[in-house]
Amino acid sequence: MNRNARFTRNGAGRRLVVGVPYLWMVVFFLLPFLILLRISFSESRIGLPPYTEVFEWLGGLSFRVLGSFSNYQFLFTDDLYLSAYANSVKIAAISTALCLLIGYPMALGISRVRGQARTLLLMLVILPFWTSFLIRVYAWIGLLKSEGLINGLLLWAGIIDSPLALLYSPFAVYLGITYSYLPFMILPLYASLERMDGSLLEAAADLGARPMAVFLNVTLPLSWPGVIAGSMLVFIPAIGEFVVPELLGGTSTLMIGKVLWSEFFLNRDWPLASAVAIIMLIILVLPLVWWQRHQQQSEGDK
Amino acid sequence: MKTRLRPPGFVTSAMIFAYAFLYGPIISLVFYSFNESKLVTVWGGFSVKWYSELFKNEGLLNAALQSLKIAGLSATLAVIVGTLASVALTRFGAFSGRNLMQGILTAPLVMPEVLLGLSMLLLFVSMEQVINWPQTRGWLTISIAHVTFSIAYVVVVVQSRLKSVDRSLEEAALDLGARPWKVFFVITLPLIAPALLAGWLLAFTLSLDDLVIASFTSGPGATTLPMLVFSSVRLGVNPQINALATILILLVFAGIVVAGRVIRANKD
Amino acid sequence: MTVRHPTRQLTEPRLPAQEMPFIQLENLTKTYAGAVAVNDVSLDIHKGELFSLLGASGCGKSTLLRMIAGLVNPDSGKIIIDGVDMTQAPPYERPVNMVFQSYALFPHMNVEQNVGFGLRQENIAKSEIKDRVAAMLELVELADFARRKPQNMSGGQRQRVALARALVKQPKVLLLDEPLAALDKKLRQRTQFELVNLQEKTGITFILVTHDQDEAMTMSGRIGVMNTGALQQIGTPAEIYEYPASRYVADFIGTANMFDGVLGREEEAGVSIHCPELGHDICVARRGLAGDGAPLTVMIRPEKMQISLAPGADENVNQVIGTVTDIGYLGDMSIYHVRLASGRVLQASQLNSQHTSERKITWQDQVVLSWHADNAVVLVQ
Repeated sequence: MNRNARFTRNGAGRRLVVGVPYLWMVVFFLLPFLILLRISFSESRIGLPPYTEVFEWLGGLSFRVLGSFSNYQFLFTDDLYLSAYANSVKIAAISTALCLLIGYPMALGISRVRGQARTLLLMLVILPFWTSFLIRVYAWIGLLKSEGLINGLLLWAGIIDSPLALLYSPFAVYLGITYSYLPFMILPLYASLERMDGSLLEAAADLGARPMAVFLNVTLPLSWPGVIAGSMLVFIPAIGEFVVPELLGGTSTLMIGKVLWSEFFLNRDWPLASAVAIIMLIILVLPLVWWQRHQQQSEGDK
Repeated sequence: MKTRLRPPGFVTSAMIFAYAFLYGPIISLVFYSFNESKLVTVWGGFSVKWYSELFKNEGLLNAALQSLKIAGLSATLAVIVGTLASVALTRFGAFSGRNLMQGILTAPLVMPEVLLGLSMLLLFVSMEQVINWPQTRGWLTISIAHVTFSIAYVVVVVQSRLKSVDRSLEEAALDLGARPWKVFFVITLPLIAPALLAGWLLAFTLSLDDLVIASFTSGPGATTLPMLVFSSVRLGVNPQINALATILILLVFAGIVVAGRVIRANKD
Repeated sequence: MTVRHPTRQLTEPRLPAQEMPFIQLENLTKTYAGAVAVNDVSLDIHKGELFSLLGASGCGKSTLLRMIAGLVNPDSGKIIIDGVDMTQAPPYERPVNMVFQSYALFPHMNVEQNVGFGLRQENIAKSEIKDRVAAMLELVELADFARRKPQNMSGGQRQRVALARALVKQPKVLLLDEPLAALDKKLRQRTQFELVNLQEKTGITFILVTHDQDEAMTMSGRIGVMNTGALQQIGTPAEIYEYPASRYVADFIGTANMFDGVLGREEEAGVSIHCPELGHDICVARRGLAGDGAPLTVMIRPEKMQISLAPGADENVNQVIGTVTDIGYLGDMSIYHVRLASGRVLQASQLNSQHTSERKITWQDQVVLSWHADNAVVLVQ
């Protein structure tokens, strides 16, 4: 790391380069979560701001704690919240599995194509990502509703007699999340497959492994980091997803992102919304910590 | 070298299915934007009337302008702060707090938007109480929020580019007597310029696209385009939105083609 | 293209010609996007041979090897291994195993798992796999490293793992693609001999691809020299060195002084050839060359030329006079650059132990280069 030290010895400049982004992220990213935690212990009130103080300063260093665990108690006694959490995790897990199922063959296919065609195929994966998320979810409303394109086609083909209730169903939510998060699954998968040394696959075939054995023994285990990275990129944000269940799920699907939204915007109960957020954060941190551990372990192997 | 290990037929058909899955909805969106009928699913003949109505919709145009302003500002700031962060992470070796920095720069990538939005709003409210700023929430608070999560994406793009830049180029410039700042602006910056552009475009698009964070951090006066679109589509299908979507998709395609040309021209 | 030398054979052919070749390559051709990688190559390799494919990078030698392994499909031609046509067989059905240039060791498996991989693809009992892997690791002296991951091993150790992984399958043919390229010089020289010993011990036919002529010369029974997709010459190392079939082979293997000439009369000792660059005619021990005035190339190896300060007495040797312009001291021998009157520079080398009677030859010395008629080779191309 001596190379790095040489680049900037200049103390002030160095402090500026590290300090500006550091300060920005601490103030606007880390600090908000501490405030979130604090407000989750307060109580809702009418007025500005719409929550009570958690600490009362008594002058000097002494203060009185006014906050309470009442929001958390409420969360754990009302079935609505617990089932919303459980349902979010379930929906996120199933959508992640669907993304993996569609994304893996796709990433594998792209990584085996050469030259310009590969660039084009990759571009086509990234392109939807650049168009509006909201609009892509909206597109499914037109396709899924009872007089929509899919029902129309199925009726026309005589497969069904009356329109299926596709929209505002859990199915629509799985579809919507899988659809919007698919690029996040494909890209890390592609990266890990593309990096793979082709001679390893040749060596496996040379040693007598049939194509399926090559895939199971070499390709799949070596792309494991990509599988995990892609799954994290889909699973974690999907837990807190709001737009998809709101637009495609209707009242039939309960997801915690939607619950948080309505606590905040409709019930104006900021402290309860904060408590919902804190519990969500804890649920999310678990897989993240596991991922970090896993990465350190696999680096330790090398 | 070409080998026998080509994608089997199953992979090819899976790919065809997946691309159809990705593009089917987008194509249907564009198709029905030219539909005369207001019922999006019934074909009532070709028409561009939704486009002309779109351009007469003043609220929508204002929201679009508001969104462009926020996206331009936040993308620019995010690129500046994100580039500083990337330089710190790739060029300064081990400094105290480096792991924390990498952590808080990566976390927004996976953080659900509702969490980011809510916590940022609470920050702004608390700041208003303590330092009496910001007094109103609107384009500025939305921009700050957008910068914060866009930085993460900029860092991903710029950091990987910085890692691939040949360090001996910078060392040669130092050896020839250029001071570190000069080296950065004269050598490093031109080399990572494509990544900066990509990072800016990414941040711009993310900001333009964001509904949830903007909804939390906005005040009564400021409505962004996604907020308007959302309030419209939750009531059901609206052909004007199809027209808007078509225009956005066209812009993105045009942007990608232009970017591709520029990159190819630079290579030659 | 293969020109066998008609008049002289340095060594007797090692194998009886009537024995059926173990590997037969017939008219193999492969083109990539219009570029010919392998051009109509036919080659017979015998059982138990250590055969080298030698050539510069991009000459098609690796493609040829990969065709034998089944990793590349030939456009046309046939591959017959031990009497069975394997042209269309996939790699996993061929009785052939390969040591890859990068070794291609599976990074997620330890040494034992890597070596056992090929056996696990067959229906072999676990206990037998275990025994065979252990025996193979013993053979390559890696028994203590069974649980290591390949990325925690040295280059030489990895090379032995790759070798063990291929050999444990008891293939009919072992293919080695530049197996020593990643090793440093000292280790490479030692490994060359280890490989030859291993080949003799196992009796497996080895086909080695290399760009290193020393490696090919040291290790192989026979060498096939390749250029631009075609086999230029097949022969023992000595045949290829002493009697190259073409300018390309002469130039590629070792150092060669070559000059253009025109065929002259037949004489008692051989034929006379008029070489304008040398200033006078020379005599070459080769008969049966047809046609007076035919253009040809004469090749003389540097070590075949005697360098001395005074002309010799023997009338039967060819002699040219020149000035020493450069001397390269290589320890065991020295190389002299001698400029002739025509401006042409020749290279002559001499073992340093041969510096005997005369005073040491030094720069600007006027010297005589001499060689026997049968030390020059005529290349008709």
